[in-house]
Amino acid sequence: MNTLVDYENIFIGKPKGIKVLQAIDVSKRYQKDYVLRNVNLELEQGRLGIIGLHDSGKTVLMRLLSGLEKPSSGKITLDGRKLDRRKIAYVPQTPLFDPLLKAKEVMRYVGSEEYLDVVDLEREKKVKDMSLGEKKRLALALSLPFSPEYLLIDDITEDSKEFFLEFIKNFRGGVIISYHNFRDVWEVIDDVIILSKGRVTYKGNKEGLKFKIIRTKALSIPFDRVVREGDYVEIWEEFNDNSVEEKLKALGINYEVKEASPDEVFQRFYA
Amino acid sequence: MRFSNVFMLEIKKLLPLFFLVLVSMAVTLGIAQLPSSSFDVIGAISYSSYGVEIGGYGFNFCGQGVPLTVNITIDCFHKIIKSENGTFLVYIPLIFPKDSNLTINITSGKENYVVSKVLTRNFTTFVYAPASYFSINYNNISVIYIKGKTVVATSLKCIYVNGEKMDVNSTIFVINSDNVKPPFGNYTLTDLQVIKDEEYCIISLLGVNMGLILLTAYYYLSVFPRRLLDLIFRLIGVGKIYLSKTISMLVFTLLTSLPSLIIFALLKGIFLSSILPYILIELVYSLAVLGISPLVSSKGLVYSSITLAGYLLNLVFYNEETLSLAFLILPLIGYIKLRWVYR
Repeated sequence: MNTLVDYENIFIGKPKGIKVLQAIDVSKRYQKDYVLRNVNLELEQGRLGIIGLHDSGKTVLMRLLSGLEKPSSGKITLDGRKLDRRKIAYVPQTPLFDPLLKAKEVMRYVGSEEYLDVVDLEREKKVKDMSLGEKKRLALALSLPFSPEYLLIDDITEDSKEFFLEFIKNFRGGVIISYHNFRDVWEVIDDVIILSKGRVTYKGNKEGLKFKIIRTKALSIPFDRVVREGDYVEIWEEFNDNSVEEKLKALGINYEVKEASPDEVFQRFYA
Repeated sequence: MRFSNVFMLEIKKLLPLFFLVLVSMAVTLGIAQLPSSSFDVIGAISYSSYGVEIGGYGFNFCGQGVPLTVNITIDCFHKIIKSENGTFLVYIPLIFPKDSNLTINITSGKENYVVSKVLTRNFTTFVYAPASYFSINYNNISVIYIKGKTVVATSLKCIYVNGEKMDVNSTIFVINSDNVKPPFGNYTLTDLQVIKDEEYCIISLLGVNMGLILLTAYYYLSVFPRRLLDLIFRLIGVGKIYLSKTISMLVFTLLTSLPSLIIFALLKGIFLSSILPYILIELVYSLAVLGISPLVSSKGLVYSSITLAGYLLNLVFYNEETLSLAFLILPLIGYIKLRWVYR
């Protein structure tokens, strides 16, 4: 292991002092079209997943949080002050580098090519020969010499999924990961923001997305979150809530219960 | 991060384009081969009671004889002579030619020169020197200073070559030195006439070099709009990279323009000090293109750089090269734009 790499400032312990990365009433528009509207978020040391379908505004929000773009209205702050971009490691959806440069040469811009070992990337490999996942790892390596306190990852590719999920688990600071489903990132996130057409449709702990589906014959009793499927209805209920089952039991109605995956919940109610 | 690291990376990105330096030199050699349309003529006229003798030499700026057609009219007498090597000598038998009207019409290519004289002196010289550093014309001596040579027509007995006295044995002769002085007067050579004669070649050469700089800029500077440096700007800011790109562009521009302009100057006999304004123009162009690059798209960079080249070449045409310094505002604007975007 190379001693020039400051592993302590990447993986071990927590950053000194609790800093808060905040987006306050952030909107972004290009020409007249809004791609984000009134987004609020706050992150200290946890791991936040920003989930949304294609064109929901995830990437724009990540660019705003990384400081690469400025919001049209609202503001992004770090501990109430102007954003210090060096304290935020940012892995874009599609990182762009000069294709003729080698990984070690790209790292020379920030002065320390040793961090390529941390992201498990060959120093001599040229950017043009790298897969998207490798380019993402290179983007991460660029930020590491500055001892980042936040890690922003916009999308994970299949070839680097294992690496990034492991990295997130070990990273000492706050993490925001944007992705299009829960299945792949569920294990590494604590809180969730769901974006749909630039607006926040869900914000809270990931446990709030655990639902069960109660399936029974068609009913005339009104319930929240009821979906009709032919002769049957599906009643979606939060996992820890048993009120629907108790009502059905009281009425003597037979029903089946199955667990809904977070992705089903996301696509059914928030996408 | 050290500045030298960033600078070396920027130079490395430019390396694949250094073959353009050779292209520039090859184009220079091609342009320098274009023959000049101008020619110089020096000659002497002497007469006695029995006739008039007219001799002369037509040559280019390098001292090589050019084909001539000489049409002589004296009173009612006409004579046409053709010369392939530029020299001509005619004797016209004419009794008591004093006060006769003499007209000599000398043509080479499309250029024409007419000498009209009334024969009042036994010996007189004439000179026509549009392609020369300098020329002297008195009755008893005419001198044309060209590239590395001096052509003299005189009835004097001596002249000074490189500061040393030299006896004269013939009427029209060529000396392999441009430091030739008659026994009187003091003369300073200037290449203004040469530059004027080569104006279109110089503008073409600058245009080609600007084209090569534009090609380089499209490849090398379009990274600003193409966002290849986004992540790096985000972390280390704009200053060091912009400065290193500026220096790299200046190095590349000097390597492209300096050898080509020096070669052209040496081949055409232009003084090296006279090419400084042209180097200035190319450096200003390079910096201006650098300044434009963050402001426009890749395609916009091409269009605006071509327009800018037009403006700068016009300044060369009107000998107002120093006005080009105004374009140095552009790199500053480009820098401010980048600072604003990555603030």
